[in-house]
Amino acid sequence: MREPDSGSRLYVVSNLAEVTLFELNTLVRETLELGFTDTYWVQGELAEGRAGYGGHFYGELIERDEEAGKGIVAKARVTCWATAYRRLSREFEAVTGETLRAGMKVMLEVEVSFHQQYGYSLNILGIDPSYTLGDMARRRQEILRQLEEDGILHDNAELPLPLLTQRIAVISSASAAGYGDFCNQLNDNEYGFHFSLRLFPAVMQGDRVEESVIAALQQIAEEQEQWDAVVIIRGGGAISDLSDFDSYPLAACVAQMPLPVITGIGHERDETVLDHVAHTHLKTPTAVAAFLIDRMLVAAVRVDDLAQRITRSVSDALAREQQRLLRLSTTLPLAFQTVRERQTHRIDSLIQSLRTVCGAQKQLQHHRINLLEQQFRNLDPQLLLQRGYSMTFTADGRLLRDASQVAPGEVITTRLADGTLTSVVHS
Amino acid sequence: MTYEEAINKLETLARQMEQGSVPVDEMADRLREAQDLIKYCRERLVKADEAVKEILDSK
Repeated sequence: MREPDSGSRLYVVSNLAEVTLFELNTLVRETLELGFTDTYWVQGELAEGRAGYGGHFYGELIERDEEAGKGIVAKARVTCWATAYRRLSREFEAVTGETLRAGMKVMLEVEVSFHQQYGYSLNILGIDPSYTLGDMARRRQEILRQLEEDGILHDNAELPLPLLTQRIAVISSASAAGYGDFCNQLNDNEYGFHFSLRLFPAVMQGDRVEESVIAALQQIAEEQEQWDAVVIIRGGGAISDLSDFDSYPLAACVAQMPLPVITGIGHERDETVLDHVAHTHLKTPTAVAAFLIDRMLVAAVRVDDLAQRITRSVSDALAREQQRLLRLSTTLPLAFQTVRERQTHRIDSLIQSLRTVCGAQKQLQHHRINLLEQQFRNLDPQLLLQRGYSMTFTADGRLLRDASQVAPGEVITTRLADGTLTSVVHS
Repeated sequence: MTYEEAINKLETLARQMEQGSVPVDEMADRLREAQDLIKYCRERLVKADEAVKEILDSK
């Protein structure tokens, strides 16, 4: 497609040595247009590029000498007219999720154009979004490989997320709707969980993303004791330029953050390098808020569960003790009764045996008394007297056993079985 | 005491009680302790840590 132009007539130059600039430019233009009738697919980097007034896209395509550093070896102005640009940019964004802008590697279908006043430029007729996508993926891979090589790729992911992730340092742009929603969602959560939030404002789109997000991260790192986690969020909605977050310095900074970083930078399709290095990455700010509330819910459930376990075990233990008491209260009287019966029986048999022993003893004593009685009876002098023996006493009543105990003339008394005799000793 | 310490203590208490290794005489004391810990944990979920509040308010 070529814009209508007043210089499309073929100029016949009569005198080759003397031409006006316009004539010469017209000649160049016609030569170029005759020599480059085809379209070309050309790859390069968009050094500049923006949609200007009227919806036309103006930019600059460059080629760098990859071998010898970053020197530019070729440069051309590129233009895409409004009608084509509307269609192409829509297709491009649908595939890459990005707007066409400076810094991108692009594959463009162009036709060569020359304008007497504006000079050489390339008209963009088509764009191959998959080339840009591939390049972005390559860049992302390159950054990831570098992070891996530096041994920091998984550093942040390995940090423990506190049981209670309540004190949240938020990196976002204050004006973003996503940030407001995020705060509301956390502060008005249905469980009444408390969150302490503070915004560390940063630019979330464009060239300054890297610098301003890093500054915010550093500020948070300086007061890391005050925070449980860092959240990097960006409102969804319009197509956003994810590649702003595909930056090595930014990724390295996130990877080495002393606090776990959670991202919600809003992209359904792709993950940025930042997502790869972050502790946890989620699609949207809403998802981040839900994740944080969910963690609190897990903590709350755990406390409830412990409370239940403790209550249950206490009541179980009490019930167990009660059961034990009950058991004792029935078994103890039984045990007592058994003991009592046994003791009663024992006492009875003791009494019985005592009785037996006592009876035997009594008989024995009886027998002994009888024997003694017999013995005593045998000793009774009356018995001797009746057998004819007698007993003689002196006048003063002493029993005479020896004749020399008396002298002649003394009076003695003799006791017989029946009666007594009084005699005078003769000799 | 941090939340983490509190919850770990609760876990230990629950385990001991479930295993029946808490003497009946100590049961009431342990239960009271557990209740304090549960209260503390529940409060931490819905209330700002005083220290944090102070820092944030002072900004």
